[in-house]
Amino acid sequence: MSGLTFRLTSAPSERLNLSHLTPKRLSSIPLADVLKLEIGSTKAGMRVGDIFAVSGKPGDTLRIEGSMDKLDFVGAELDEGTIIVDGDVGVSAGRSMRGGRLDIRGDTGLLLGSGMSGGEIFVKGSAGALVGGLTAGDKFGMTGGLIVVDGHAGDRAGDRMRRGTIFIRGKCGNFAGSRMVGGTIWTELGFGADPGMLLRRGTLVGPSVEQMLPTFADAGRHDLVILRVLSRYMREKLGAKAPKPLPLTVRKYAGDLATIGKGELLITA
Amino acid sequence: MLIKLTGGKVYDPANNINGEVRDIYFADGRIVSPPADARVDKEYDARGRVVMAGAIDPHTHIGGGKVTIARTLMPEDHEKDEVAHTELTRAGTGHALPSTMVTGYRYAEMGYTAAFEPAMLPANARQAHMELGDTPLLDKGAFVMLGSDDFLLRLIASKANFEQIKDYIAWTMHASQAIAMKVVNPGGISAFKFNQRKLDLDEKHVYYGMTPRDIILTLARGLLELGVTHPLHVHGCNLGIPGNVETTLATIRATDGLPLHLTHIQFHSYATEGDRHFSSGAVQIADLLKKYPHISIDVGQVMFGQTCTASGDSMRQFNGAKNADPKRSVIMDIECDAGCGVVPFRYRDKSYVHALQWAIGLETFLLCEDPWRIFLTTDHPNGAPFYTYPHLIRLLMDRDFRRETLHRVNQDALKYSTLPMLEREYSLYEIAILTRAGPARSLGLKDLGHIGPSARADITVYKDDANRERMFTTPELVFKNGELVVRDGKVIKVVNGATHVVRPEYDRSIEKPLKEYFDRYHTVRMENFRLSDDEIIDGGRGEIIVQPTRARTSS
Amino acid sequence: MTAHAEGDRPGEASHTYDNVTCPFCGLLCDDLQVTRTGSTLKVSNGCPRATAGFQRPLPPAKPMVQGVEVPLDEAIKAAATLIREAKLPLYGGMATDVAGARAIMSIADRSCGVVDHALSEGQYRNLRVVQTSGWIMTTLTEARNRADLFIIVGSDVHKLHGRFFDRIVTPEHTMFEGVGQKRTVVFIGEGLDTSAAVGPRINDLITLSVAKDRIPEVLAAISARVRGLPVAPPEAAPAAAAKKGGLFSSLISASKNAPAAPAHEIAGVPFADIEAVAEKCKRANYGVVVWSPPALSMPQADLTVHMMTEIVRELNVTTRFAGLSLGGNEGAPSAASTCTWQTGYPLRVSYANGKPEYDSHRFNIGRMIADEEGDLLLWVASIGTDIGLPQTKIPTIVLGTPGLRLAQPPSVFIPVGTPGVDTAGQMVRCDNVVSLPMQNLGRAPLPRTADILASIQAAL
Repeated sequence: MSGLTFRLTSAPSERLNLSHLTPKRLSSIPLADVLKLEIGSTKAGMRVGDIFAVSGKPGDTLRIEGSMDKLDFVGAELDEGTIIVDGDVGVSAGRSMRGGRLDIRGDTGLLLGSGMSGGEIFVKGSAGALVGGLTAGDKFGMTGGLIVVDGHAGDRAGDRMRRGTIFIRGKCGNFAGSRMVGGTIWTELGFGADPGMLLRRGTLVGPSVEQMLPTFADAGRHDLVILRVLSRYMREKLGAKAPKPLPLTVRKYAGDLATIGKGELLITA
Repeated sequence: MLIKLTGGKVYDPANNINGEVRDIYFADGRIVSPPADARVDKEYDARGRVVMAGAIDPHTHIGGGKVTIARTLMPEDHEKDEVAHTELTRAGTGHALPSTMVTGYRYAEMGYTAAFEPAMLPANARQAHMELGDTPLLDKGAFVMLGSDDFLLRLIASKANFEQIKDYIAWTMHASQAIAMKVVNPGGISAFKFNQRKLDLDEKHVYYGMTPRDIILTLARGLLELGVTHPLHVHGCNLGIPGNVETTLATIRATDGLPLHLTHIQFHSYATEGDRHFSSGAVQIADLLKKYPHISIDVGQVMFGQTCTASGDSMRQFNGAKNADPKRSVIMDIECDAGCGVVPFRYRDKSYVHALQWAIGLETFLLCEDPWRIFLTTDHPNGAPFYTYPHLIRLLMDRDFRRETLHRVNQDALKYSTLPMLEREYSLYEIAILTRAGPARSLGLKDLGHIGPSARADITVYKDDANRERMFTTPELVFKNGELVVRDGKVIKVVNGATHVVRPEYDRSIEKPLKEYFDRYHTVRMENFRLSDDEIIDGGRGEIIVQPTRARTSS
Repeated sequence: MTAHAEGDRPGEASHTYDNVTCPFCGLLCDDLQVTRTGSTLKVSNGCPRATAGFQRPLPPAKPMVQGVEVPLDEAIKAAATLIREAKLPLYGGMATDVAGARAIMSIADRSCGVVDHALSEGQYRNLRVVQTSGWIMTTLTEARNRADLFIIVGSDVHKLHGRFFDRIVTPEHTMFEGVGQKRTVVFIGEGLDTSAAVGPRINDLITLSVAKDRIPEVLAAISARVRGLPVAPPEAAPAAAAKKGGLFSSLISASKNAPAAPAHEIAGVPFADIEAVAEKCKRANYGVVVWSPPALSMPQADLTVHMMTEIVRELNVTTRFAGLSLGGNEGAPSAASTCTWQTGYPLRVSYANGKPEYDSHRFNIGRMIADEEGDLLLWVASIGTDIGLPQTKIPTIVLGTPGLRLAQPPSVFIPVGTPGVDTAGQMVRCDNVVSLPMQNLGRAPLPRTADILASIQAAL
């Protein structure tokens, strides 16, 4: 596994935008130029070399060490290769990612994987609000790929998500799957209040709901193909770390009837 | 300071100059006659270059509420075209809905020195002028919209004295600081608020009882008798509906000799032949226009790519919202005065409908023989952003280029248009009419659009490049009021342009019923509805130029 | 401008100004009559907020640098120095008119700063919806003359916008015979003042009393019913669970619930009442859903706005319906509109790299200050006194109306006039369509925000 390592040498005094740092892009740039890449958010300018010690040779892996929550857009537009982050990241990590793997061994700010269309994001810690969500000007949130969060997720995971899978080992905050138009969100510890507000299509899976919207209709217990598909998919993706397979029957709630109501909320417990 | 522009090939149709090599002199912002022996302070070499007046866009949505709503709606469109500030210029964003400053810079960099916002709602006039005030390097003006405003409709419905209607038209033009008047889906915007979903030319407004025909004729006649130079600017009924060519033909016939300008006629030239029941009606329109010399048009050419449509036609835009791309839209009912609809749109060359729309626009250009009655527009941003003009000019001037381009669009669509058969190529002289002399004459801009003595020294100098797209994209020199503002397609100096208005005569006593009306029903006082000169002049940032009107007459 | 003098002696003379536009809330009522005697103003027909705003005794105020009175040009020089030295100046507050907003944009562009308005959070409850799916909206005059149904959601409109009912809901006259003559007014929320919804125009007044953070549930049920979709009573009562319970305290296993609650209620509102409102919506000829964004303090309130716009959209399939957003205090619409036409983006724009960069989270100045980003805050608060400077350790420049509440003494303070009171100008109304002229009523010889900023920019 060859690649560059970026070690943060001091705490940045401003937010940094690391969207330039993907293995593929850096493999075509001489190291001297990498050090000159502008990543700051003030007129004073901040270059990679001002705050990162860079070692290694360009390859298909890129490592960020000593990361912290002021580092935004880590792994943005990643399309191949792997980025490993030791530490926390700021907002919009994995933004518009199309492929590859983003491995964050800390917590993330909001909008993790927003607008991503492919690839995989793994988060050791917890994620902020709007996991796989959309930001101003996006047609949709996440449109493909996989996000796995070992900790909890903040509010509104999957906001206007269209395709792909979000798996939260912990608890999913309030309003998960808001305005969602497709895709799957699975939480192992349950949803907060009002999941699926304005859900049009798509699937929310979890053991429990703190508060159910009145516009989700109890459709009874079902044996659904999607459960097996989802369990199998997670097994393929996560191997030994895959969650316990879903039960064969679940209670299905259809909604959100406040809109076209073609989505489903599946309660596994 | 006397400036000489030496030896350019001059295309100045207003003065019948067709490519003659001439020297142009200007001083204090105006063109002057060749002086006998005055000292030239500065000389620019234009030998081998093409010289025209600064171009005029007579129909471009660049200022006012709906444009700013559209800007709000499309952040992703701006993101791809963010413009950094320089020592001279402000930062901003471009593409389909450029920010105001970038609008000014980019028009100027394309050789344009004047642009007119064609859909100013009276209720939104103040904001429209504020935005135009933030649009540098261009002279500007706005067409005020009537025709779905309650006050006019109640005057017509109550068969009010026609002089009073004229007073109201004139008052509105004064109050909103307008250069011309537009009607959009006549009566239809109002009818939509009463839940009517369509309103054809002779269909009755459900509340007021009159028809779009009545409204068009009332306003057109009113403007004629008020002596306003630009005739009623009509965005007709049934925009975008297959078969609307019949409505458009009927609208033309309805005028019976009254002057009218039919805007973005491409969107109103749809016939219903073929399996898809969607075909070109451009031939019928062009044929009929030959018999109606008082009617002028602009095209509203569609070009492929992402844009955003912004219109006062809330009724039609509500309908069009289901085709929004991206899927978001804003529809508004406004102040018992007007409406607006903003719908993002992407025209695709492989789409049958879009390719046909594109073909119909070009057909219209090529079929209409009189260049003085047709203006070059994309109805920015509705058909395409204004930066596509050089490409459009090349399509009109270069038959081979047009043929190549034809291969790239949906071929089925071309079966329902005569475009592949059309051989015409526009000349530079004709382009100068379409983009300078014609709009200036139609709008009554007395000293714009030409470079004869006493004209404003708004001058564009192009390299004479066989690739007309390249030529018109990057003029070598652009002078605004005699100052060199653009060199090699880049702004080098920023100045502010003036606002052009007309002030037709009216009887001030119209303010008595108007004041009662405002006090009784409105949430804005009549006194505050009116936009004062000071608000445009704004301590010297702006300037008002009152263009002449003919004497008021009565029939 | 319509001033007429009534006194003789200069200084003591009374001037009466008609058609005065009020800058103190987003409605921009422009029919006020204000009389000035010396520097004292008296409003004859304002709401309590307007009266308090115009009649507030103006304390003396002088330019100050580090708490010491200085001549204006010194304060300007000091401000320019601070801006020149800042790496990331924040231009917040933005409570001013269009000219002021233009000047802020200009200096922010030049100095590579960030712009945001003090009340953006409210505006963003709307903007997030507009930028995702758009909406169908109306304006004040249209609603006044056309609506036969008003649904007021989660906003104590009478308290926030004291003349809304007078001017929009209950005026004596209606423009269209037989249209909206009799009106139904529905209040959805808790403790909303319904007292102004009275008079001959009001046919029916309905209140659906529900706690603010449960309003979305009621709206969701209305939305389902206007679509003709069933809203079944829950078999059990998971909805009764505490919403704000701790992480694990209220996990309810839906499948294990015991069946059947007797009365069908949604968030405590009888379902029959919700059904009745949905019916009224469907029967309305022109319904208007009204909210004031700053009042929608439920979590993720843009979803509530989104829910309202979904209801409106659905009803427009068969009848006419529109939203009407109020709010817009402290010049917020003027700032947002100006920023949008000048950059394409509605505030929360950074010019740090020379281009306008937009991010509603990263360039939220409230958040930036809390997270200690930015190294200078220029705060403009020329209208009300209660959007004073936020607490911060970084140097601050305040252009404020005299008497502005300040959390800490600013590095530089320059008193400025209030548009529509001390200075003339233009402001944009809450419906983002109408803008109005603001008169100079001659209260105090205070400078325009725009002019001070232009001077600072010239001194950079």
